Amino acid sequence: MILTLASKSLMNRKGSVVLTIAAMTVSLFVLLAVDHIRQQSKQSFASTVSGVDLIVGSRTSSINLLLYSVFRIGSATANVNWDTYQDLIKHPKIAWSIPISLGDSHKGYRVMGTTDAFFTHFKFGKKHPLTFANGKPFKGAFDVVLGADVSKKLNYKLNQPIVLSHGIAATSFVNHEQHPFKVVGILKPTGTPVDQTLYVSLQDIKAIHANWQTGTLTNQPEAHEDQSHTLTPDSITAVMIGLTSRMATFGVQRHINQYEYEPLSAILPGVALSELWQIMGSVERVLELISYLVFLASLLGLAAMLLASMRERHQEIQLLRVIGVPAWYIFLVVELEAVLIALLSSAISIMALWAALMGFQSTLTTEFGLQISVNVFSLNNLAILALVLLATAMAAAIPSIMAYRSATNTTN
Amino acid sequence: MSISIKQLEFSYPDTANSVIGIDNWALASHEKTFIHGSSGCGKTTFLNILSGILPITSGSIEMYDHSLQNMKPSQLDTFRANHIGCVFQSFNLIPYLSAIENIKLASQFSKMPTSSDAAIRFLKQLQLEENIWNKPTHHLSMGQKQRVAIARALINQPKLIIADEPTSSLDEKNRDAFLELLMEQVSELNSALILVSHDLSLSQHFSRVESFKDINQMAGAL
Repeated sequence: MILTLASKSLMNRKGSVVLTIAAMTVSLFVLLAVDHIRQQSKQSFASTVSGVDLIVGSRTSSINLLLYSVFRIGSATANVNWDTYQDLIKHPKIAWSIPISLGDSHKGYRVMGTTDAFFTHFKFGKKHPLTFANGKPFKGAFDVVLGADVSKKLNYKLNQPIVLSHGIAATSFVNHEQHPFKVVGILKPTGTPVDQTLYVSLQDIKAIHANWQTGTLTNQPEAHEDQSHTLTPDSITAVMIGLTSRMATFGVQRHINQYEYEPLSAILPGVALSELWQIMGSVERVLELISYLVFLASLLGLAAMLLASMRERHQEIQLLRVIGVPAWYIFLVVELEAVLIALLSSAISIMALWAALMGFQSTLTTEFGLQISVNVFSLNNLAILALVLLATAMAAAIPSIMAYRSATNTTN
Repeated sequence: MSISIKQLEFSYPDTANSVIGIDNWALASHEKTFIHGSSGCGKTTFLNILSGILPITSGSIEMYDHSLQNMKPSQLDTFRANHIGCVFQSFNLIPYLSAIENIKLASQFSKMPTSSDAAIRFLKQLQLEENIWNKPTHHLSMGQKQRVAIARALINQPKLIIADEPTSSLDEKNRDAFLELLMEQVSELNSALILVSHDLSLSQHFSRVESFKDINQMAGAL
């Protein structure tokens, strides 16, 4: 009965109630969206790379190195010599290494030159290895492996010929047209930048640039296919390293940082990831604060709406008293009205968030490399909603107490 | 005597003067009384005291073996729900609830909560057509509302029915029909009735007729 009373009372004041629900829905949407994206991006961040003990590049800041080697954002200021690389990996504590070479692209997706080691040693998330949805790693000359998103978005199948572009601009006018590649493998989705990258062998990177000087094609004889597999790269962009024991991490890091023939930086991906996250962190904390303030404003609006209704409801409350309704029951009716508004707003906002994520998920992934789950019913979100209901009940206490007093005060 | 008032005094908390002072007044358990008084003479205050909404300043009200002055507010709520039914001039019903819901709400806080069936039985007795049972009561005509109000007031089979100017918002035809229905239902329940009105013509339905001025010694003070 109390539910009928509260809900019909709300329906009786449709206009102001609908506006209050709208205000609260918007504020809850902001609150949930900020928090959800924050949680998800943090998770997405942390799971981009795992199992790699050190990342080595030309001397630079750890965040810059992390950004271009793992997130494929920005570019390296200088390369690492091939000889240096060969020399470094002789270190006895180094178990494996993945050389990577960046700089080319295909329709806005980065191309990464690497070796077989990438497919065997690279891990993401909770140490998940890379797996193939179709095909296999590159083997012959001008084979290319596609990340899941690349194949999905460009609708590429196995054996499809594609042409790489020089440089990393989304639209490039300089293409490596003499060397079309053939798709030999497509990776399963990982939810990391791995999905947005094309993989070719280091030798192929060397081969397609064989006749290039400072970004233009020169008239030198072309490298032949059979030749390409014997080519040795001059330099690479970065190296991911796995150690025989994690205990050796700092020793090897020092060894690389103090390498005497070339200035290098070795970073711990986990540390760099958390540094990067801290930079993002202050921004998202401000966003979070703002979203809580917006929610507070909508709560005050709710309290004001209920308070304003008390005057017109005095008669109604008096009548309830006459038929023997206890004053605490009237207090509860007003509280319940507020909670119903909050529940309805929560339901609408969570549906809206789900719909928005469904709509923008791919944009977030391609534009920002953020892998956002559409599962909005996380424990965290439910905890927020529980908190919202509690806050609503508290905000509604003022009008509810007014109602209670109106009920106990019969002098009118 | 089912209701007996002795040395009752009442003043509003923020005023020093008593507005009601009743030395001795009583009503038998099946008695119907018509109390006549001009508006603003304290009739409504008196009725609010009788129903336990306003706490008295001094004196005693004994009602069906209960002493109102000794009861806690929560006990008074329950007592009111079980033993007293009220009909007012207007605003007898929650406007956004249907007739059935209004009646059920009233029985919710009594000893014997009512089913929809019982509410419907009552509505039928009061000659209310089926098509208005589930409509929000603000759609009803005044005459219909007052009839639903009788049902609402009587659903818990109260021992005392208090009617405060129940006919003042009705036209003559509706007024007589309403009064007939009310008297009929009250007689059926064997309840006591206190009907207060400024309209002396209603007194013809009653055997006991009194003026509020004679009951309230403080009448001159107002």
